[in-house]
Amino acid sequence: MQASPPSPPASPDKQKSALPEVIFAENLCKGCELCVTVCPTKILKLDTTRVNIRGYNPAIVYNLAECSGCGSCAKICPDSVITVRR
Amino acid sequence: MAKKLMKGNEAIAAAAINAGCRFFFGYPITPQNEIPEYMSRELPKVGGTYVQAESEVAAINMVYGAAGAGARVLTSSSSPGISLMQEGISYIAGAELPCVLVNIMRAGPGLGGVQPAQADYFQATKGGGHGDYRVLVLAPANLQEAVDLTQLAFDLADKYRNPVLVLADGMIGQLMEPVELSPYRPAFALPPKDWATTGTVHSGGRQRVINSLYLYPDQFENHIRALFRKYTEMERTEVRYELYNCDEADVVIVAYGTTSRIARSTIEKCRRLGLRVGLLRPITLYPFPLVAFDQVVERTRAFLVVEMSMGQMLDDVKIAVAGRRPISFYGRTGGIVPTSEEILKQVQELLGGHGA
Amino acid sequence: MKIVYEKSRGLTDVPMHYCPGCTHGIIHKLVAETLVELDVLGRTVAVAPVGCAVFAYEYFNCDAQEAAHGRAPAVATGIKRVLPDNIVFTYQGDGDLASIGMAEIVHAAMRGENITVVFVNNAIYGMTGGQMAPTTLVGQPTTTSPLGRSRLGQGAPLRVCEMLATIEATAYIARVSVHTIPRLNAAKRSLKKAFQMQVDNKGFSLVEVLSTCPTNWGLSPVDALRWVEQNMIPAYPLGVYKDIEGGT
Repeated sequence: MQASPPSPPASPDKQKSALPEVIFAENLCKGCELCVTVCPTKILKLDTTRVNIRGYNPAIVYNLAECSGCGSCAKICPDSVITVRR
Repeated sequence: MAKKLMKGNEAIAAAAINAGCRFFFGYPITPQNEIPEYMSRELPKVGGTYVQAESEVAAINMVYGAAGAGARVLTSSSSPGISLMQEGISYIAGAELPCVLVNIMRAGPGLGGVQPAQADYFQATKGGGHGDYRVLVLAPANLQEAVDLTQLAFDLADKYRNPVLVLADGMIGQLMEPVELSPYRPAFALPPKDWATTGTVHSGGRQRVINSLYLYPDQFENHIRALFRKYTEMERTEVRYELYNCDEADVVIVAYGTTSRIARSTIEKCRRLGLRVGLLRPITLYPFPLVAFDQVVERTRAFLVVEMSMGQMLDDVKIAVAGRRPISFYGRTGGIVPTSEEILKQVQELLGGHGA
Repeated sequence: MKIVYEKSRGLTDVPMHYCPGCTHGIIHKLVAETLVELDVLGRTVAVAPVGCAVFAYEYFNCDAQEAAHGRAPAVATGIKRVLPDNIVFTYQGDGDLASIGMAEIVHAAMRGENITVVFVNNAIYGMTGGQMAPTTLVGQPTTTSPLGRSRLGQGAPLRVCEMLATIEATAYIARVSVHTIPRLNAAKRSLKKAFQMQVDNKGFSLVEVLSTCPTNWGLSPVDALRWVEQNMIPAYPLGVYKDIEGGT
């Protein structure tokens, strides 16, 4: 599994170790948006500025500060793209 | 070891158990029902498993699963049921699994009749199912041979990782004769079944997959060529046939199975009439004994092919003779079993009507 | 940092070929996780169908056999009778199980074969390009029911769980879905129960999973999840249809 770069860093006044880690094996992502749909805090979206090696806009976390570490995104992802640690 | 009077179907089933077969999946159809019935009685006694499937289609797929799991497995049926099994047989050959099939032939086409016939020769030897593959076909002519060939079938199946078909007819299935079941030993050294799907715990985590799907043509062609290297080896080493009274025969009768026994009676009648007639009896129908024809063609004037069909092995005889001698054909079909007198008449006509 | 979720070791590293958002991927994960959590992966044999999941043997990290179309329950029967201590499961779509394979699934259930069946119902034939399935809803357009499935001439959907639950020798029959996280969690619990039944030699278990086919339904993956909620669940009620252990 290829690890992609981690999601954008937290806002400076939060401790990094307090935030969950959401790691995307980006080249497996098919841009299906199931993760975007099930996220309870709505912090996922497709990065429409680029495509991955499969030609899809990959899913990313755009606001890690609001991540509860529930793992719903990872659970629903059909391609096991996402790893969540907390 | 003592001989035991047995019915053909039961003798075949007993031979399978003797050769270590512990799994049978089948479906009732006349005239082979004694095989599943025998298996249902006897397999549990030796720790084996009998499953009556919902159809021959299901049965052959159970055979596939069991063979893929590494077991010696048997199924049996009769002509229409063997038709139903063709998809599964193609899969078994494509996936390189060993199994033994028994066809107790009855008259066809269609629902047909339940009396003996030999009209499944094409089905058995020319494919039957779809795709590029062959089935090794053994044709016993009497019950002892049926016993011996059934046991050999398991060894050949394991050696080549291919289905092997014991092709008999309703006469052989229903006859009773004394047979001897000697203690079984494999006819040759057998390779280990290290490809069987017994769980990755047995293979150090390496996945074993039984499959016949090849979507990439270059890979598939390579696979099929590998299958045919096996068939070439079969053609080289597994041909079996019998020549009887062919040293100075004016006519050589070509027949297999029950028909060959009747032809033997005809040959005895011919002998008393001063006619010189021999028998070329294929035992393997695939690989067909081409070499047997090379042995007799120079020493005879004509061939008479006799089958309980409209002429199916006839085509292979024509290939084997390759135009070197004339070939005549005599067939009965629809469940009719020819008499030795009928065949004698054919021989006499061939020899110009001279009866003495 | 503790793992909240990571890819199961019950899956191989082969990237899945399924369409974006196809629930096959989710169901594969749930099965793979279940096999790992029950500690049976090393003695599992999967039976792959003909259908989109024909390559299932590429994804499940265990031994596998590819079956002819519809014949997986018969193949599984052969394997399980030879290897009764192995865990044997079939993974079948609605064409494989409810059309060509109807006899095989009914009779495996009839015999009470100690296997587990994962039945992926997306009301259409996916791999072959979107033809009508036995489970297609009345009025649902497919390539072989272009005006929508017609009750007259094409009948009404087969409800597999309801049918199989009438068979005496079955142990556990349940219908679940994976279109929301709570439903996905419940689906996993059902699968775990089904496989545990096999581990405990309790008999035939089947879990029907309502699934999506975004490509052939002509919907986005997210809209397809909604279609399950709005259209499939009314036609195929979720629930436990048989449980010899008396659960719900």
